Amino acid sequence: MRLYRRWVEATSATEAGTSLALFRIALGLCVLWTLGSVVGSDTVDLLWVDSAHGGMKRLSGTWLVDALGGPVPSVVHGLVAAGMVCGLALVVGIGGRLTALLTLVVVRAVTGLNTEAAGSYDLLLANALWLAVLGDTTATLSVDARLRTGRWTSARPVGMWARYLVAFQLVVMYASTGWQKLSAYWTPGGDFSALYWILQQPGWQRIDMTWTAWVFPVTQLATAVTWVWEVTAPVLLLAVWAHDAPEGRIRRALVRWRVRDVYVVVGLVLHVSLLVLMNVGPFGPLSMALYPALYAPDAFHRGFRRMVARRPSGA
Amino acid sequence: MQHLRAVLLALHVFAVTAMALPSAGSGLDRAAWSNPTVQEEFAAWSGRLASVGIPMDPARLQDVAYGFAVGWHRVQSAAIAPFGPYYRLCGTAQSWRMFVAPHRHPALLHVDIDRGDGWEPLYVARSSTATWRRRQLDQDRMRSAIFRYGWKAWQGRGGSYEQLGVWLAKQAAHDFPDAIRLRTRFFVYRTLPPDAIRAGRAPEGEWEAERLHRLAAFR
Repeated sequence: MRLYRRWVEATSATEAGTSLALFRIALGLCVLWTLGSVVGSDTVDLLWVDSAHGGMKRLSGTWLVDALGGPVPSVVHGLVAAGMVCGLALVVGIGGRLTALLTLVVVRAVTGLNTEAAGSYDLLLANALWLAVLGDTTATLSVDARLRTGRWTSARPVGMWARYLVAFQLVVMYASTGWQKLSAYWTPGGDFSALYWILQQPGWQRIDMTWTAWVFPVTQLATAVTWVWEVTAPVLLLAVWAHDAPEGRIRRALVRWRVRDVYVVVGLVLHVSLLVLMNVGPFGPLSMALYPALYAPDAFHRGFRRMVARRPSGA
Repeated sequence: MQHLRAVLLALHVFAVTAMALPSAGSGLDRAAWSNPTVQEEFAAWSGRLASVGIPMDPARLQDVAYGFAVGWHRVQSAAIAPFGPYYRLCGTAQSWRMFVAPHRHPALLHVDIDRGDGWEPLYVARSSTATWRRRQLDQDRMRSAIFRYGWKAWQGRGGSYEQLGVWLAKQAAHDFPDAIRLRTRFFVYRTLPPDAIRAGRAPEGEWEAERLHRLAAFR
């Protein structure tokens, strides 16, 4: 009963909406990337239109696409355009939860047409958009705030639980993938060569990666760091909580040792490296879009105040 | 309201966690285990177990692993079954099997045409010279599809790989009016260890899944 009371208290706490707003803005940019990269490479028809109308596969459609007339160019092009408009609306923060819901429905309708040409980023995007439906992401830094208060920012409180759900999703993803890396090339006892071999796979390379043969020990170190970082990801959630409620020895130690920042820095380095070396779509940016949820709004407010203070004042 | 929210959030957390727990998923297709990459993993684990005093040959290890995977899949499926509509309607499905094991025997797509005097390469994945339709074929979603088509399970008659071949043939019939045939095939090879690359060795492999398409049918 005590545990339940604490859970109710935790899920009733509120805070400023800055972290969630930054998450929403980054998420909107990722929607634009996800759809824009397909448009930019001229693969919309190839991927998402039925082979009878110019695509590469016989497609069975998704409920929305079927309702609109099936996977034919006019329907698919319209939905892609609508998805990009929704992505833009997320970035500027107009329409509140409804925009996030529309984006989720449209993006899933399109990307679900050809599941063979899909990636984990589609799953992550859908999950993140659903969290943007649940949480109040346009409370501040949004057109909605401007229309409501006359200012771009607002102190309207939002449920802290929404930020925790985003952080939780990130941690679940990292931990789940880490716990499934049971290959002899990933795990201790082996030679930690997984990343070297993965970089040799031509499927995802941006450039020829044979040069990694000359820096093999670096790839071994990166493999070990990645594996440990993913497998121990739940510690990150604990560290986030520790910053919000630094009580007890363990949580105070997590704050003192800046464990959250260590995880964040390693994560950023891994995602950026992946982005540079491999073409795995918007997975990295999308993962990083969830990072603002790892910090309470106060952290961003303090950072912003420091930035303003450093700006040279006019002559 | 507070209580309703607390209960709904608890259900969300449970649903997400239960589905994200490691599971073999599509890996339960035992036929796919014949892939050399998978076989090498079992051989490596068999050696590791032997080194800690648990001798188990790779075939027996596969049986044990398969039995455990099927049992766990049953338990997990039962736990997440009530949340099916939540995953389906709200996009909360979780499957994070990302680079769980390096693919040591990758398949490189080659597309060639014949204008009557032999085959000439049009597109070779990651090539800087055979770059026909590269902007489309190198897009990350296409890479994902082509990666799948490199596995035998996707190469069935009339399946996705052949449908891609038909699409390529249609484009080639348009782009090369004098071409007679188009060929798609995969070069499957074992990736090289660091010392072999440093010694200047080139990967050796074999051709698989060759398909021919007569272009006259698409003009």
